[in-house]
Amino acid sequence: MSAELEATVRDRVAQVVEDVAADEIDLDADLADEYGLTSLNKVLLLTVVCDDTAVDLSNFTEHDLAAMRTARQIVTTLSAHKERITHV
Amino acid sequence: MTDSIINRIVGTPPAPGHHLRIAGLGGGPTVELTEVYAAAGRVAARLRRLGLKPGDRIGILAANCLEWVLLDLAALRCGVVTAGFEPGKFAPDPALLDRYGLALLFTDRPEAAGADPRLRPIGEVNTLAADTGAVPPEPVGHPPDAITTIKFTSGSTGEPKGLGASVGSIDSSLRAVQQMFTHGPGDDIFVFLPLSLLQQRYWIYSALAYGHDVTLSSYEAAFATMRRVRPTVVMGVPGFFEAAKRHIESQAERGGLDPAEAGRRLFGDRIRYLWTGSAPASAAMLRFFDANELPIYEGYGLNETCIVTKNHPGASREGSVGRVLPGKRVLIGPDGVVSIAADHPVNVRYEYAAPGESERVFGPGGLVRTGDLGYLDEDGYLFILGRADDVIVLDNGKKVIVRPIEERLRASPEIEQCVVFCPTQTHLVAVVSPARQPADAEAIAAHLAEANEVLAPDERIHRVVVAGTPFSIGNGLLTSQYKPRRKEIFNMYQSEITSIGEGVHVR
Repeated sequence: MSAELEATVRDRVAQVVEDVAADEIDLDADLADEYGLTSLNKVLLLTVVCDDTAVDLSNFTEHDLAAMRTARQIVTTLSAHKERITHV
Repeated sequence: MTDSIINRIVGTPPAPGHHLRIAGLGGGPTVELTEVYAAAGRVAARLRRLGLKPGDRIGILAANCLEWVLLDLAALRCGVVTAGFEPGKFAPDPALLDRYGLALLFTDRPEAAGADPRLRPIGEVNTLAADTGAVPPEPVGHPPDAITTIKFTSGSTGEPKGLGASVGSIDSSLRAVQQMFTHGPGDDIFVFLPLSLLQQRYWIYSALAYGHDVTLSSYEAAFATMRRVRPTVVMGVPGFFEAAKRHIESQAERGGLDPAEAGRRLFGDRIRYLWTGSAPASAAMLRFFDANELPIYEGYGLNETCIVTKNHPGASREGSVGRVLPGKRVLIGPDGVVSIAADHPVNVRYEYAAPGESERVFGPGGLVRTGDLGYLDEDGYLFILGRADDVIVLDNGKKVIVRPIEERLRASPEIEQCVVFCPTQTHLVAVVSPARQPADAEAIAAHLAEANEVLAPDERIHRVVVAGTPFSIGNGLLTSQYKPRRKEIFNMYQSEITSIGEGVHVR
C-alpha cells in the first residue's frame, strides 16, 4: 500500500471531517458511523482522491463505492488501480 | 386531446439528434431518443402480447436505468398504468403485487426472481425491446382525466399514501415548466433522483417533447458524473445542494480557487440553472449558488398538487417560492393555511390511504389543503412560512412558527438539520443534526446565542440537543426527500428533549 496514497486519503478525509487531524484519522473506522460521512460525502471524497492520485473515477461502480466503508478500503482499492496502471 | 403532451410523446417520434444518456459511476450507454421511442414501441407490443390491456397495472421497483424509461414509455403507449416504487422503501414480493393490483412487477432485485411468476427481472425489458418483429400498438389517446401512474407520498409515518396522477395534471405541469425555462436543443437535463418520483420522469417526457438531451444518473453517482456529462440543468433537492456548497467552499479554500471555478469543476461548465424543490431551501444556500454563476430556482408543490409555483429567470424573488403557474390557483385561508386549486387536479382523492385521509386533504373539485402556512405578496410571489401543524402554542397563548427559527439555526455551518420542539409549552428545545462528527458543541452554542439575539423572546431556543448520529434516510430520521421526520426525531430523542439538564445551553 503506497504511503503517498495513504497520506492523500488521510488528508482528504480530514478535510471532510475537519476537527480530526490527518494523522489521527483511524484508517479502519467506518466512515459513515464513526466520522458521519453521508453517501454524498463519500462520493465527493472519492472524487477528490481520484483527482489527486490520477486514478480514473470511472473505474468504479456504485457497488464498489458502497463496499468502501473505511479509509483503508479506499486506499487498498485505489492502490490496486494504480498498480494496474503501472503494469499496463 | 391533440394538444396533450403525453399523447404527443407516445404518438409522434421525437426530433432526431437528441439523446438519453445513462451516467453511472462507471459510465453507461447513450441512446438516441428516436431509438428510445422505437424501443418503447416494441416493448409496448410485447406487453400487449403478455396479455396486458389498457387500465391494467404494472409495478417498477428498480434503480434508475434505461429499462425503467422504456417500460414507462411503453406503458403510456398502450394505456397500462405504472406504479413506481422507490427502491429501499418497498420489497419486491407477492404481497406488493396483491396490495396494488399489479399484473407484473419489474425489479432489479435478483432475490425476487422465482418467488412469483408475476415478478420479473427488469433486464427482461431488453429482450422485449430487442424483438424487432414486434409491431408497436397504435398509441392509446389519453383523455385529460385518465390516470397514467400511481404515485406515492413519503408520509412521515406508516404506509406511503398512493394516488393516481391524471394526464391533464402532467400536461399542465410540463407546459408551464417549458414556458418558464424554455428547454430545447443544446440543453442536457441531469436527473439523479429516483424515477419512481413522477416529477423526475417529466424530464424524459420534456426531452421527447421539446428536443433536448437528458442524462439519467443515481444519487451515489451524481457528484462524480456531472463534470463529465456537463449538463445545462441539474434537478436536485436542498440536501444535495447543501452538500455541493460545502464541497465547493472547501475546494475553493484549499486550492485558492474562485468559488465559481470550484463550482464549475463540480457541476461542469455549461450550467444554465439549478432546480431545487421537495423541501425548503436555506436562504444562505440559494444566495451562494446565485453569487457563483450557478443560478438556482426554488419552487413549491406537493405530490397531491404537482408543481404550483416556481421562481425562474425573469421572475424570481428571494425568500419566495415563485409565482403561481398557469392553471393553478393559490388560496390563503383566514388562518393563513395555503390551499391549491387546479384546472386539472392530480386527483380528487387518494387511492391508498388511511380512512379519512382523503377527506382531510382533498376538498371539492380536487382542492388540496396543503397544511402549509403562507402568503402571497403584492406581485403574486408565494412565501411559505411553515407547516400549520408546526405552530407551537405556548402556555402564554403566543403562537410560534418554528420553521423560520429552524432555518436561522441551520444557517450555521456546524448544523446540517434542525427541528424545534416545545416539550413543556414554555420554552423551545432544538434537536440538531451536526454537519460534522464530532460535533463542535462550542460553535453550536455560540451560533445559538447569536440566533437568540435576533429572535423574539418567545422564539428563543433554551437548549439544543445534538444528535449522536446525523439524521439520514437510512436511520429513518429523514424522508426520501431529505426532510426531517419530526415525529421520529422526537421519539428517538424524547428523553434528552424533555430532560432539563441535557444538551447545549445558551451561554
